[in-house]
Amino acid sequence: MTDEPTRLLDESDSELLRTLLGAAREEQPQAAALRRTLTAVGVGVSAVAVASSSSASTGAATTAAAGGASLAAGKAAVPTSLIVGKWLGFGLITGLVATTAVYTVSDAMAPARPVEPPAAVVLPPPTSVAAPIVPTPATPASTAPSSEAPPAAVSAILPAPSASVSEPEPSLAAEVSTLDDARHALKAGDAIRALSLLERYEQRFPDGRMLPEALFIRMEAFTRKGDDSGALAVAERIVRSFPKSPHAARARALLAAAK
Amino acid sequence: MAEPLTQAEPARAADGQAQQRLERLIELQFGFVWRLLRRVGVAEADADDAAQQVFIAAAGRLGDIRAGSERAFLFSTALHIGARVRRSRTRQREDFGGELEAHTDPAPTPDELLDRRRARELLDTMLEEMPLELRVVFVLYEIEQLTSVEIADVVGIPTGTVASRLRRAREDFAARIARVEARRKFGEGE
Repeated sequence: MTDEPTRLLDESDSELLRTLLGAAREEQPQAAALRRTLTAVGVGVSAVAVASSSSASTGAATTAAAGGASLAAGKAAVPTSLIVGKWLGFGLITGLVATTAVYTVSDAMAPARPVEPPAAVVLPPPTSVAAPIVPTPATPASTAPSSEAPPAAVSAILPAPSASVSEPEPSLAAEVSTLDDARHALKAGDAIRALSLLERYEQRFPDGRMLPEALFIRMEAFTRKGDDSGALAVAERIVRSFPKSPHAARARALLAAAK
Repeated sequence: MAEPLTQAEPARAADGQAQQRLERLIELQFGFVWRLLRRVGVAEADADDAAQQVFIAAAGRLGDIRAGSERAFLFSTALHIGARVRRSRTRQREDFGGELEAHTDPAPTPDELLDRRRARELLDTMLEEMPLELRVVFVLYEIEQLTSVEIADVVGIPTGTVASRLRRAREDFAARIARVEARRKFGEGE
């Protein structure tokens, strides 16, 4: 675009301004944070392998990672994704119980993972101007009166939900918070409380955005509780309701292992 | 154990594609989400967890996110989660009686500015006072270097609105810079 204004970092006479913007532009998250996120959502076969042995994960990052660590840990144990259906075999259910321990071991011992080049990029490159503009008015999003709703300042900059983009609704924060609590409970070894929180989640958010994640944690909670039939029932539900979810492969493996 | 090879195979292939898409999404956009969270006021100590929550939300809704709209989804989700994290931090700060604020010096010396962390702290202090609808456009343009068209797509506003918000944000930021520089000069002259 020809009338695009020159960026301040390139044109400003103020050394202070250039210093501040330059420092912000250079800021990067640690690679370990990215790897923990890959692990938490259950992707990145060797992501677990590289998960840094140096930095101990903390807070929700750790607890969320625990939610998805079983899958990743299983993958780390058999580092070819082509045989993912067999990686844990019949011992999967037992393996789930030891999720955290396996994750920790693989975390510490696995070799570094080469970063894949972003070939066949799904997303538009940052410089692309070909992306279609969604012609939505710059009006504030609808104000859902909820104690969990984001502050007005956030709603004010977001457009009304459009068909082309799945906009999170104000309850997303509440969903995330409830699942965080469930993860914490599960991590603390209190599977019964985790199940109770997850049941409450489904009652409160029957069409929740995080439902696949909630079911995934629930499957794990049943397993840790020793309720295999409960775990299998949830696994069937995941496969049936969210066949394309990243968690479906794990659910199928669990079902296959039980046959 | 015999592998079920019937109806499960297509679904499994779809799983593989979804996982690949999710992995690529995280690898390409994690830095963008993380920095966005930082610039909308999420503390460095909280940014990893907050970014992770954003991508967990994306994982849960991956099938509903249209190809090409991923960054818009991540953007709006990051703002919501960032707001929640900030509220939580604000409560903690209140519990500490505002002690955390006391460490922010609005007029650092030139030597201090050599410290990039210190520079970012000052930047965030300045941005925090800027209205959020201006701040996000400013951050996306001046720091993330998105084009106006890309910002319009991500934020979901017309390009004309992007241009006007960017202009106002620059004026706002320039005024704040001028105030800080004036304080520095005043401090040096004392």
